[in-house]
Amino acid sequence: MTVQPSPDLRRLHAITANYFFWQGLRWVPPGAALILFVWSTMPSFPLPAAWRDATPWFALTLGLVASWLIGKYYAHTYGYVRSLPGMHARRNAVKWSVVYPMIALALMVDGLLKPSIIVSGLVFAVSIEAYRRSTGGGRRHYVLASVLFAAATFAPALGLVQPGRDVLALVLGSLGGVYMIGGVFDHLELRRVLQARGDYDHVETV
Amino acid sequence: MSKPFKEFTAIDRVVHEPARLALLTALSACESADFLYLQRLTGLSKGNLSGHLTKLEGAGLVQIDKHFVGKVPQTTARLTDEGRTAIAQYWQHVDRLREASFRLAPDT
Repeated sequence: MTVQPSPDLRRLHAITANYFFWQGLRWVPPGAALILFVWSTMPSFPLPAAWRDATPWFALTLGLVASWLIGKYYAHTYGYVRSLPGMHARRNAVKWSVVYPMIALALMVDGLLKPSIIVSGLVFAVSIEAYRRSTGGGRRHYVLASVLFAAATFAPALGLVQPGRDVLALVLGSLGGVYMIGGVFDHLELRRVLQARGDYDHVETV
Repeated sequence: MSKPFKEFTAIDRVVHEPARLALLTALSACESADFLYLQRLTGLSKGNLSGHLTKLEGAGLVQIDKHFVGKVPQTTARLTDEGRTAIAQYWQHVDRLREASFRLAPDT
């Protein structure tokens, strides 16, 4: 039986290996951008048509710039980690060859075929949990998000939302919410870990 | 002295010390990390962290780089090849100790 490092050491290793993904405040602006994009497709959007078309690009640019600036905050406040080249090659390969195509396909099914269940709800439920596990675990709030996405699968069948466009708005808007709320909770969890006081700072001969 | 205990005393004490084990574990998960991150992660005081890093550097397990980012001095640490080998060997040694302890028979 192989000895496992203590939970503390596993946590140190996991967070360091996935430090970028634990910087939760980075995900808040892209989440807001996604919600703004969804809102811009709705009749209730207050701006004129010309602004509607520009909104997604404006939101995306602003979201990315804000995310980058927040990265500077993390480096300044919590320090900087350079990743090992190729460390996450397998995860990236799975992400681009399996996860993203599945998400795109599920959204197309929901938008074009208008099934009585939200296919992308199930796909996002699985994807979010896979994301949590593959980026260092912890962050139980994503388990809740996965459960909620899975539960929302049956919303059209229960008459809570119209299949088609409304489902896409619900799914993408909810995803934006997960980015924002999950990002805040990620930050709080990272802050708890990186504010460790005296865990190893005992009287010891150096 | 029976074998498992003899093996136990042979454990690499440079690696085994909890603060240094935490540092080596964190550095094994990345190419490099700066002083601030390591301090935040371990909760060590600046002096203690500096002391432990110096010890690891002296043992050839860690390389310390000091440079400027603009006008701000920055210290980063990275595992050497020997450091990566040392942490892997440490866990293999601990595995062997655990297995040996299961086979340990009481003295007759």
